[in-house]
Amino acid sequence: MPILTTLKPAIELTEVWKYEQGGREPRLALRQLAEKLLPEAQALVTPAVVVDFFPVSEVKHDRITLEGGHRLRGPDAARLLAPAKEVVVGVVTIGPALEEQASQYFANGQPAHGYLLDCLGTAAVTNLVQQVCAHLENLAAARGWPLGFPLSPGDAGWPIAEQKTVFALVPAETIGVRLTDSCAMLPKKSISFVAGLGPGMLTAAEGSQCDYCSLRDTCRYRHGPQ
Amino acid sequence: MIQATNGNLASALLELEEKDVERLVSDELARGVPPETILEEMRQGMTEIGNRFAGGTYFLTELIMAAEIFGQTMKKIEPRLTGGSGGEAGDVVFATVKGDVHDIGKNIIVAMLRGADFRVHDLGVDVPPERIIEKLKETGAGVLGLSALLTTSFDSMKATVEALARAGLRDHVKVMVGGGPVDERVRAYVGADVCGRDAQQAVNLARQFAAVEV
Repeated sequence: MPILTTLKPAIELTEVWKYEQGGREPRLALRQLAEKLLPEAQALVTPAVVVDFFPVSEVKHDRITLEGGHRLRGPDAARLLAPAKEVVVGVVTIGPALEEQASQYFANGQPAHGYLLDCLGTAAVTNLVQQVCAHLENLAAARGWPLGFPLSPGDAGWPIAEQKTVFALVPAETIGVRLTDSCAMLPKKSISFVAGLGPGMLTAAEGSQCDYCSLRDTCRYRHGPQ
Repeated sequence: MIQATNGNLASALLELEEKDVERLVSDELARGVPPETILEEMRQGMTEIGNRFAGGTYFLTELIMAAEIFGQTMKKIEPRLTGGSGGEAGDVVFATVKGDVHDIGKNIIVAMLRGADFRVHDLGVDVPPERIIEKLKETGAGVLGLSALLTTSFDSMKATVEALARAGLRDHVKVMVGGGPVDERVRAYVGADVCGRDAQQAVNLARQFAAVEV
């Protein structure tokens, strides 16, 4: 059950401007503020990752059963994970410090500082997941299998209640992440994911959970602000 | 002799030039321009930014940056205002509902409402209906904003609106809801008055509500 703490997420301002400004070059004042906040964001990020692998014992139309008896429920998730011989389950976080500082900026009457810092945090945790998945792709390739694109409870038709299953499978508390009663993760800059390994899995190059989301045509994270 | 503004302040705000705004405000105060006049010009700049946001030429980050510059400038002007120092547009209670911990959207709207001269009572996140009712009674606020990012929070929104009715406040408080998954269907489900699509619309809705006597 590896707990990875050596990964350092990259925070790319181009990613921030892609979904905040539709890819348009930001005004000088915004660019300068983001550049000013970047070292602060990097200092506040404390990345941590926990992952584990589980062989699949049974596939049904509405659930995947893992060895040990845990079930990942939901027809959409079951359909996408159906080809998997194993699943990898993970939780990643950049820790609480960045979002706490962002909240403090808002409380101090500096909403632009708070909002941009939050955006940098989103870019950081997203990049962290991408790095983890790249690492997992190499592990899967060594076994001769593709790694399917990651799915997350709460996205694209997979009920958020399935976070409880994810958190039962990996000890996220060891990296400081917990679930609220409503299945939100704290720290908020945390992402959970499940990905399948096996022949026939659709890889990240071939698809994503976005393809199955009702917001795929309007989501600003795909298309920029509308 | 009272001087008038030279019109550059609104332009500096439009360009998000914080240092220029600070300098121009200092210059105008030194020239004897009434702070109310300076404030009005700043508000004109904010209104134009809101129009450009609605028109799609300014995005959310620009709107928020303008609100920050406006807010920081207000700290300099407020002590010199003669007729009240904020909150003239009315009182708003705002909260992320019980069971939800997301606050960025709420924080943005709160900042924008304060920039529009509303006195906002921000209750934070994971707020149960009874605390919201208590604050509404305490402040007499006529507008309630509820925010959520989780679809599982819709029932909390609904419970809050129902609690308003049981407390006898529903006819005196306009409820606006917003957040990522919140749309017109959610508005109808929870029993709110309006659904705010974005930060500027939330401010416009609050202004409309404040202009209506209940």
